[in-house]
Amino acid sequence: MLLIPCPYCGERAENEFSYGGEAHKPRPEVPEEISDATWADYVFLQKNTKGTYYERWIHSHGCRRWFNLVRDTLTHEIHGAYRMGEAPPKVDEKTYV
Amino acid sequence: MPETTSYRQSPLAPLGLAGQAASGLNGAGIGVAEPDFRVLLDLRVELDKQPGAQDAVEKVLGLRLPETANTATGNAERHALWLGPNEWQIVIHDSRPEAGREWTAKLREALQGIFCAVVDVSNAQAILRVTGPAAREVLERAVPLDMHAGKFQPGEVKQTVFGRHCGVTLHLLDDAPTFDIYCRRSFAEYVHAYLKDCARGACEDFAVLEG
Repeated sequence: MLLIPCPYCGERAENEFSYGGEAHKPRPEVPEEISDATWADYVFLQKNTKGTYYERWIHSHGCRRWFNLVRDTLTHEIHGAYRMGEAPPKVDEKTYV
Repeated sequence: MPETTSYRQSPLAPLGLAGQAASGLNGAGIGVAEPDFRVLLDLRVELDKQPGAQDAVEKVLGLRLPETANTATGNAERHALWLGPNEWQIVIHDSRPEAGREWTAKLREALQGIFCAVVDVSNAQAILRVTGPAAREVLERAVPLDMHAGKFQPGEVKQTVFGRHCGVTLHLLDDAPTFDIYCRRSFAEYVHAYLKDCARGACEDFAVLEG
């Protein structure tokens, strides 16, 4: 089980959290003007990185706040957590083949 | 004001705990009690943007909201539990049926002009008090937290998942250790049954105490 460092509550077990997918994905500025294909891209398609990944989590059984996490999807190493709106920590990004 | 008839019932009432209650642990490792009704208020306010809020709360309740994560402030009669960076649960030991409405009104009046929300959640939650030397060991089987005395100290509050899927707020009151467990009222019987099950492996006896 992952030990996730919630930026508000500290380290807690993974089963207190829920996953929110890819972080830093800009929402299209004017959704009604873009094509269905572009909207579908935004809603359904996410990066499938094997390596360092920026993702969203919510501490649903704790403080109920959203935050971002930098995690290695292969090794499960957690490089850091940061609040919404904050800049991500400097991480030596890795991608495995 | 005419006397109000109260039809409220504790979610633990079907278990009939009061009828089984003993006055002490009598050697049992863990004791569970159902405390009297309390007033529970959910307070949401951004303290950094609303500088007057702390003083307004203190004027009504006589306590300051804890700004450190996972902690509580208060005395034997009142507590403020940290639930999040801008959210607190106010606990007032006042069992009168109309108390929730009164305290909500008092707090709202004091916080007038401050951007915040005060909601009476007294009837949404069930309260269980767990005490006894084996309390940490029993709870450790139900929650994913580190329950070691060095990691969970009196005055701390932690919200976590209890058993399989039920969210609880644990408030450690003293070194006995005594925990107050707050959970959604529909989960009250589940929490009680799960505790009893956990106790089976951890200690000899499971006592029911007076609230």
